[in-house]
Amino acid sequence: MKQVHTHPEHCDTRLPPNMFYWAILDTSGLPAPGIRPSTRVQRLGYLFESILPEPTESVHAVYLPIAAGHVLACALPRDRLSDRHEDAISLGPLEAPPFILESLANEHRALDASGFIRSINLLTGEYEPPAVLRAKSRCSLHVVMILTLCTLLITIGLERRTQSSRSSVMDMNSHIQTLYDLALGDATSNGQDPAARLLSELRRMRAASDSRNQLQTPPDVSIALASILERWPSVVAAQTSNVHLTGDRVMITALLPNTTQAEQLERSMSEVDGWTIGQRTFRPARDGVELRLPLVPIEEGTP
Amino acid sequence: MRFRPSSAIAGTAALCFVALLLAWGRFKAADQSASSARARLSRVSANVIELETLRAELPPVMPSDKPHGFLVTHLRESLQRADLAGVQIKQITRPGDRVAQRPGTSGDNALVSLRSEVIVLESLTTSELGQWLQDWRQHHAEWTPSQISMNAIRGRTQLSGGYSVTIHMTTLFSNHQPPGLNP
Repeated sequence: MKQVHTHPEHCDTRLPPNMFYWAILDTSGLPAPGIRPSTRVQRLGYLFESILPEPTESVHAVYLPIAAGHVLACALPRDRLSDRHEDAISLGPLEAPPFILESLANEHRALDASGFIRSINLLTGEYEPPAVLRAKSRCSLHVVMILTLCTLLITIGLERRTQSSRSSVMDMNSHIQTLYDLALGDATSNGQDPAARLLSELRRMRAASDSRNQLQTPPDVSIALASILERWPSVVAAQTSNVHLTGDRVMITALLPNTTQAEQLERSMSEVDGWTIGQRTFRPARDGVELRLPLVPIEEGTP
Repeated sequence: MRFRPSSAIAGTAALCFVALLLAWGRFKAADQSASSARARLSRVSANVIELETLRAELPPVMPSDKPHGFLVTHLRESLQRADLAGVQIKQITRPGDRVAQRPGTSGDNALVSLRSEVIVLESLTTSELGQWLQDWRQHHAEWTPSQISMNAIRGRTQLSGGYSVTIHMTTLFSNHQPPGLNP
């Protein structure tokens, strides 16, 4: 008599182990993982076929890897699958036959044999229950919707940033044009490339700056003249014939009544700030003494 | 035909990937364009700032329509301000402009020149000369008295007497009127 155990909530149908075909397949001869799943199932079917009492086409099998090189094969004749409970969403063995349990216990001690056997479900592939298919469809629809929504949000975000970048490019180009207008005036409207025009103008200005640095304005000699006139002794009756000032030299040529007054003028001139007396000369003249008194600037650092 | 949820997800994922790829491509292109514009703006700004700084350092442009007229006018005004309207401007000459000679150039198109004008004023006492120089420096600081030669006029016997004063006035000026700002 057929003994059927059905879980009331999950429609989990469990059948006695003797209704199934069982085997532990040695898959070490099969190619390494990486081949397509359908090809692998087909090859496992060839291995299983050698110990099945009926052709593989008449059974529906599932294969569960136990450990490296070993797969548990579990199959049920297709006619028994066809008359399953219509509400069943999973169908599997209640327990494993003793020889399988013994093999699992001896060779695969780490495996929880009871839980492992409970995880076997033959309602897969063409026997997948409509309820499971509907649930999978719903789940897929949710995934598709989430994917679409995420893509939409990311695309909108990227598009906003794209627009923002484009807008900032326009602003910057406008700013650049304003700078060209400010720097070059109408020169930007005569068809010339403003960037080249700006660089050309910049080169001209750099050249002008170099020229300016080379052409130093000579020092203002009026300051030296003011100092000299400030120190000029009022008592000296000099008939000055010439005062000549340049940036680096002052030459005073004076006609004086006598040597004493010439020396007094020399002493006064020695007190002019920033200047020192050079090689002066006295020369007798018709009405007295002619003094030639050169002044040179005191070099920086000279005591 | 059987509905395959995994195919629907894969198809949607592929479409989403293509859409994201296109949006990302557009964004990257715009972003690169913005980076390039930013770099260009920065470069142009730096160039314009340097240009304006150099222009600001340039000496003023010299009116060249009336030779000497510019200086003569200022000289008369300055003498009047110093109550020396009676002083005679005997002579104004221009020895020539000096330009910075750069290797391989003739100097004809120099942007900056150093101009000297030689002024000869007659019958000026030392105090009058001081008065006038003070006014000149106050109002025309760009013209520097770079050389002064005082020659006593025959017959005068004191330093405070009359002199013939020869003054070399020197100034830097630009030959180039820059376009745009700072004309």
